[in-house]
Amino acid sequence: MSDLMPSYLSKFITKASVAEQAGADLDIRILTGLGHINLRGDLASQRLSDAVANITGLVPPKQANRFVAHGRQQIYWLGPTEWLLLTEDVNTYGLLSELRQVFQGLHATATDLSGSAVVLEIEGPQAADILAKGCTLDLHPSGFNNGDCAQIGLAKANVLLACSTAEYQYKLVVRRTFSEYLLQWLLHSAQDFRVLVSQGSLEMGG
Amino acid sequence: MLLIECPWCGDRAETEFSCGGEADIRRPALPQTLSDEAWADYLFMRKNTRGWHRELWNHSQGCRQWFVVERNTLTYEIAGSSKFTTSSEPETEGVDSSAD
Repeated sequence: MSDLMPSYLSKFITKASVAEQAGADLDIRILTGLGHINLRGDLASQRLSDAVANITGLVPPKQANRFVAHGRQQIYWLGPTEWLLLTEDVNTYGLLSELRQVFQGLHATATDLSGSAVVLEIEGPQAADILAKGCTLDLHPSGFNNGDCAQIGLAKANVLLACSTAEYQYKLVVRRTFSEYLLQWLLHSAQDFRVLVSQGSLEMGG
Repeated sequence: MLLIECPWCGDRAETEFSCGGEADIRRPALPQTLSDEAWADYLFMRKNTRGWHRELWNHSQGCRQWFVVERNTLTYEIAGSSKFTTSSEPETEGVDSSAD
């Protein structure tokens, strides 16, 4: 969905000639044009949990600061009554209507936030060290590992940070208006390393 | 910097939180029956405790939840934090008073 990437993000994409020089220490992938749906309510309750699972194929994580992924959809725990559903498809109308239908009459709601945030994937042996320059969260794999997520302040920007299957892969969900700044900060923090910035898609498993 | 334990997210840096002041202040059930002095006392007057103090904190950069922290205003030591409980829900995670 390159047509959905604005110039203030696409300008960071590494030029093809540079990209051909393989062996980057750090891969940064920019994901735009995803569907973001904010879910509020007691999704830990059996009824709502089942309803969401029927529609998305994902059971909203009950445990704090965890996320689940299946295919091209992910659900992140944001708070005791708040979850984020990320989908590959920016056309969330169908999904939203299904969710709203099962939420009807219940103390729960689904809100479309698509376009409000940009997702960045960061991969490489130095990824944790670079992120650690801007946040106070302990990123050591013993404490922050596959399936963990956390809302933190990263270089003064509010982000949702998630750790994926690979020990070195992180995902950042950041407000669109902070995304240019955060990319500048990431590239500055990683200036000792060879960085490859490219466009990504939502396929992180597990 | 304080290291504050959010009951949901665990230990996080103070910069992620905002402080809401003294805890356990109950809004009067019938404000219209109060005298001006009693209403002003509820609105403005705080104990300004020296020593152990129960106070409200909000994890504004994290899970955006309010909770109670027991903190020593003299030494900045934190004894523990707890969620709010409703009458239908028994309190399970109390403040660790043994650290006092």
